[in-house]
Amino acid sequence: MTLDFQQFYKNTTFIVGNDKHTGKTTFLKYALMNLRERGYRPAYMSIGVDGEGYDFLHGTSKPTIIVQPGDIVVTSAHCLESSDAAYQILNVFPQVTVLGRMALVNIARSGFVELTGPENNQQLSAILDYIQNETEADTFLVDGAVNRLSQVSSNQSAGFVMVMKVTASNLIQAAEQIRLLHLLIDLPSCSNCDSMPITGALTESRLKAIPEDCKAISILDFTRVFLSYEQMQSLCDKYSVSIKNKFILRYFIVNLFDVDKAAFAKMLDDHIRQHVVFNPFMEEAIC
Amino acid sequence: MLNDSLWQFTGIEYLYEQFTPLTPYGIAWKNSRELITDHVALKGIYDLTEAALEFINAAPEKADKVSWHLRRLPMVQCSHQANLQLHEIFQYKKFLLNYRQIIRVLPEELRQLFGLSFDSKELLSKLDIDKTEHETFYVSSKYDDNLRVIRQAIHDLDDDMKKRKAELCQKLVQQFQLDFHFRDFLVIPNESAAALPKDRLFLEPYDSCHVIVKPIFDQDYQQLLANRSQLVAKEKQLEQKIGAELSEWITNEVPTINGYTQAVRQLDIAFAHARLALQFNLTRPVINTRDTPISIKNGKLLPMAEHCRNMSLKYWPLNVDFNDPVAVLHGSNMSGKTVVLQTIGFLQLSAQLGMFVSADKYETTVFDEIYFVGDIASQKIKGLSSFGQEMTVLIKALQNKTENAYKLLLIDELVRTTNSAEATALLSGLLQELSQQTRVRSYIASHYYGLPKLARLTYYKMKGINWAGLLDKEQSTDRNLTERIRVIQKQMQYEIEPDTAKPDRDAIRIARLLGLNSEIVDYAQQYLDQENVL
Repeated sequence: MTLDFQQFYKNTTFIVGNDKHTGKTTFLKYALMNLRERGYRPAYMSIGVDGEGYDFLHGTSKPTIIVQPGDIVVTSAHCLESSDAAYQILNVFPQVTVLGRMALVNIARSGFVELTGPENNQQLSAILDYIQNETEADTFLVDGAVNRLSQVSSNQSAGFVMVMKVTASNLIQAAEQIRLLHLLIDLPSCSNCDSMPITGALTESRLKAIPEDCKAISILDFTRVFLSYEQMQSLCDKYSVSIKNKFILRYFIVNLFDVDKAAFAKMLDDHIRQHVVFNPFMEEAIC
Repeated sequence: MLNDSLWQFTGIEYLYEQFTPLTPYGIAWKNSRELITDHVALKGIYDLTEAALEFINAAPEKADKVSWHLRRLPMVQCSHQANLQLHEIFQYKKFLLNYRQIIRVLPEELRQLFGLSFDSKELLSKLDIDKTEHETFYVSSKYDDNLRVIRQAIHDLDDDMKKRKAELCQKLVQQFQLDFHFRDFLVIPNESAAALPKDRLFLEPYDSCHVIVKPIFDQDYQQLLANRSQLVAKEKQLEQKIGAELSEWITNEVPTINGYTQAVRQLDIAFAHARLALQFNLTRPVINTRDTPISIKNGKLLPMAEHCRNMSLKYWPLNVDFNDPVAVLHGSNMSGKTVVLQTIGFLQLSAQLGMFVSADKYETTVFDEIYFVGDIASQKIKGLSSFGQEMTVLIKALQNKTENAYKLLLIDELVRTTNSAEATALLSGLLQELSQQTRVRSYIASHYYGLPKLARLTYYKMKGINWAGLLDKEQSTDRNLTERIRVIQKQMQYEIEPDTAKPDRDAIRIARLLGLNSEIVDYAQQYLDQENVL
């Protein structure tokens, strides 16, 4: 499976991870290089201070991005001050974060920029709206977190890439996460007014509280589900399950560590494998 | 800031949420929710709203342009702070560009009225040295020729390094099939890495079977990088120097810019008030001196009017002249007494928040304090009974918090939870006190009759049900509750009139209409006839 970057064009894509230090920013860099090469004009940002202090691959401090001329970037005024890139300020957003005001800039000369982002969903939504409506960028990337997805659910073009770090110790768990997420993404949109809405988290104890005579249930979005794949599968067998806020899954990016690709692929069904890209940074055919 | 119970009782949020200033200055003013108690200031706001209305009606396209630029005005921190950061300088430039555009669109008389003038041509030309008039900012090379020279040198270095990097990548592809074109690093199997030259490729472990590979750039390339860093440092120094100069220009002009921000705040608020007036067909209230009556012609409680429209019910606007400072409003259940109080509060708050009002005519005065005493969930006090809570709120309303404060009291069904004899006595005492107060106007809705006749106090009543208009079939006991309520609402005359006669016995008849056991209702009627009480 190879990445089709056309899917990112004219759309907003959140790069989320199944854990901290899974390689989200590394993937962002990789995506940016590919998008620029195709002539797209990317706009990108990170989310607030997420506590991920170093790059999982290199153990360096908070990953920086090499921005290129024409890129549209959101970061804090503080981070811009320490950048060696040249930029033109396009806007300064009113919300104040711990790292100062968020600024929108058009890059005039390449250089390093540390990305920081808005701290809450409201700020994120306002900034995304502004970038989409007021700049010439055509591809929008957010180095983000799963819990930020709910905020952009109203934006029909919003999708996400799930970056996963798979090691020998989390192999089975990771495969189950992929299966569960795929199952949730495949659920139909909620159109049945009679379905029972599950507000808040869908947990094992919440399952027990569903009335016996209930036939259909609806979930707000997949981030609210805290069940195993088997539990979710049996729920789908028992009830008509729908989802209110659907998100477009673009890819599972799976970074394998000491795990054989074929062995892991075998743990996933064919229709799921179609969405999985293994180690995009790995060069396999070397003479 | 007004208290929540008054806000909630009057339903003023319905109108206030539609009042939408566009600038951060106007939005901050809105969010303060300040009751305007200065008679002159209030009239000034109305004058500006009228001027904005006239302009919007006469030149809607120009008004749209004004709104466009208002929306783009940023908040500038108007202090004498030196050394503004670049993003702050950008804010000033953006502010001045949009402010100037607003002035260009507005006619001379409006500019004068709002105190809008532009005296910062020189500052703006400094901030927009490239004369682009774009809402962007960067430290242009035109500020200093040395900056241009340094940037050119960085540009040349970047070109050189890019070329060298491309050549290196090309060689690595040719020699080792390692393609770094889209990647800063590659992950390759250990066995492939074994043969790679360590002086040309940097290797570090990825996992037990793979390593990370990165190209090693030669000494010349490293030297170029170091040179670039030095040049960037020099560039930063120059940018800081230019930034400091621009900061000084700006801070010297802070008093003038403060004047601009105040003027645009007024303009923004006036335009928002005008848009609101157009949206809801509001009229300018008349603010009189404090001893003149409050007069309402076709006053509308807008949330109720919308509710009635949605329910396909007739809405009855309020028409009344309150000549005395104390008014007691009687009426049966469901007759609309509370709605009258809400309407008075809605109109008064609209007026004193600077908005026009939903009435054909609203003549009033300015109150320093406005209180609501009645049953609202938000004013529940833990540990107190309903009666205790009422008394606490009433005591607070009657206290002289501010010397010589002129107050408006809206009192809904006071002492409704206690026995009728004591309730009437307490209410009588309150009326006695209020009728002697020269600085309080009170509107009191109450079920209780037998209250004293006092100077400066007028009794009113709700007209109630038009019993003659009720058809026999509408009084039928076969109807369900929803239908019965609808019949009552249909025949209810939500009008106010002076109460000079004996009270109507609507409550008993309404209870019958709602389906209460006829034996109970008949007995109640007989009891009332025997007692013959007011």
